Amino acid sequence: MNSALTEWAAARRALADQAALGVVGIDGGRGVRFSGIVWDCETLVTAAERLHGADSVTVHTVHGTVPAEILACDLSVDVAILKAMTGAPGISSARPASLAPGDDVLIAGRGTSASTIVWSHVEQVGPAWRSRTGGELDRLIRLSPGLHPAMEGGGAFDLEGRLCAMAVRGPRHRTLGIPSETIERLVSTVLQHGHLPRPYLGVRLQSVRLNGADAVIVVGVEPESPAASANLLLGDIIASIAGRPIENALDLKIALSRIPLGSSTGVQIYRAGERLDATVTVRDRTLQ
Amino acid sequence: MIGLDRPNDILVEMIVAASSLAVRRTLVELTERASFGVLAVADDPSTLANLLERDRDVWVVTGGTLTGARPFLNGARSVNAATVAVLSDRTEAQDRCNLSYAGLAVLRAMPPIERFQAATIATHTGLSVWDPDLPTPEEPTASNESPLSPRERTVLELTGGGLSTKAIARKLSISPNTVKFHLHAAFEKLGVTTRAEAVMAAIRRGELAI
Repeated sequence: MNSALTEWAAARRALADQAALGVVGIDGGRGVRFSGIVWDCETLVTAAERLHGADSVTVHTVHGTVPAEILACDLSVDVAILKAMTGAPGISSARPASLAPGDDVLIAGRGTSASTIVWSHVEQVGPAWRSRTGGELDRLIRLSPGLHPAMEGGGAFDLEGRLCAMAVRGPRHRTLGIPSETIERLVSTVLQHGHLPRPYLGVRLQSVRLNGADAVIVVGVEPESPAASANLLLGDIIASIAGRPIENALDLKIALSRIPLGSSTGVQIYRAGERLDATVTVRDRTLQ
Repeated sequence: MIGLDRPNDILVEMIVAASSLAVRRTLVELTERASFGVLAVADDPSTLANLLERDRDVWVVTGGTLTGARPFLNGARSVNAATVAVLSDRTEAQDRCNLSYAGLAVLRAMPPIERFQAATIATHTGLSVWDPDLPTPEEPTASNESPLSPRERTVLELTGGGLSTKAIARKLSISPNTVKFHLHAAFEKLGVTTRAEAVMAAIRRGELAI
């Protein structure tokens, strides 16, 4: 008997058992099954895109089945926050610094009656990045490819049993980890405000080339919007907002998300070839 | 700390796909000069399809004439593989309409190496790249796109706010199935498959306000 191997196996088994308690199976109806993470005793998180617009789902936990209500969805980072009385203790998140390429992680998900555990590893860890749908993720975490659809929304746990990321299927069969710190940020916003604020300026934009550089031109100003109050006009080129240069719609979306809502912010525009300064008050669209 | 930088340490591995040997050689050389890896070489579209079946986590680089590159482009597009096309013949402005889609970079022959690298990285983030040295149509490509209906816009707008199908239906006093109908019609027009992509595509096209 090789005691080192036995201990190793037992340690792995213990981690798997612990991780299994931190995840749930989600039944989205019509046979659509995926997984979720027990954030705390009444909050779950899962992959937003998999909900397909549902407003309630059935959740399978170790102890049985409970209904869950969707509190908020941020499609741009693929995170949905659900309220469900699972009674489970919830997970503990890993410190952001503790992940490196090559690290073993355990991906835990759940079907209707049993947990599914896959040992995986971290392929790549990178700096903060933005998704092509305009979301900001605190880190790039790429896990070994080939995540089963039923595991999507499940947790990736490190060898200390702490949550590092939510496993989702990215473009081209990649497995991406939505960092736990990104989820943490969204959950605390939702628990504080009851929803995810959406910064709103009220402009429709198209891309143009301006003196060889990318820029956005205003092709619509919504009535009674912050942009209308600031007298932005059709044909204005938005050069920067709050000192951040704007080259495309994604830049503007991200810049807006960093401006405190309700505060006055400087916008630099080009109108008829002249540079002008305007002031806008970005507000929360959900409160309209 | 949250930075805005896209990851610049991406491992790029490419499948060089072209039926002409000369084109393949040029592309292999270009890829290697750009310090990217050549994972495999495909001389016909079915070989490319097989390679992509095995590993979709790669880039496709093709080139030569547009007619010659077309089957490889179609194969790569069918699995959403990021693609760089280095086209040698007279690529016309009107070609831009059907060569402008997410994840494709179109470059003229013998591109500067920095441009090739930058375009490759850009396709990874789902951008569509058109070489500034290639002719640009007078009219923006938007004129070829069918505009969203007011209802489709409203539904997308509410979807972007994270509302559920039922909540949208209640707000607009229509049935959830009608909401789904509008949403899928919008997906079709925008050429996307997910809600998040649809919202961003509509913003990019100037159909939704931010």
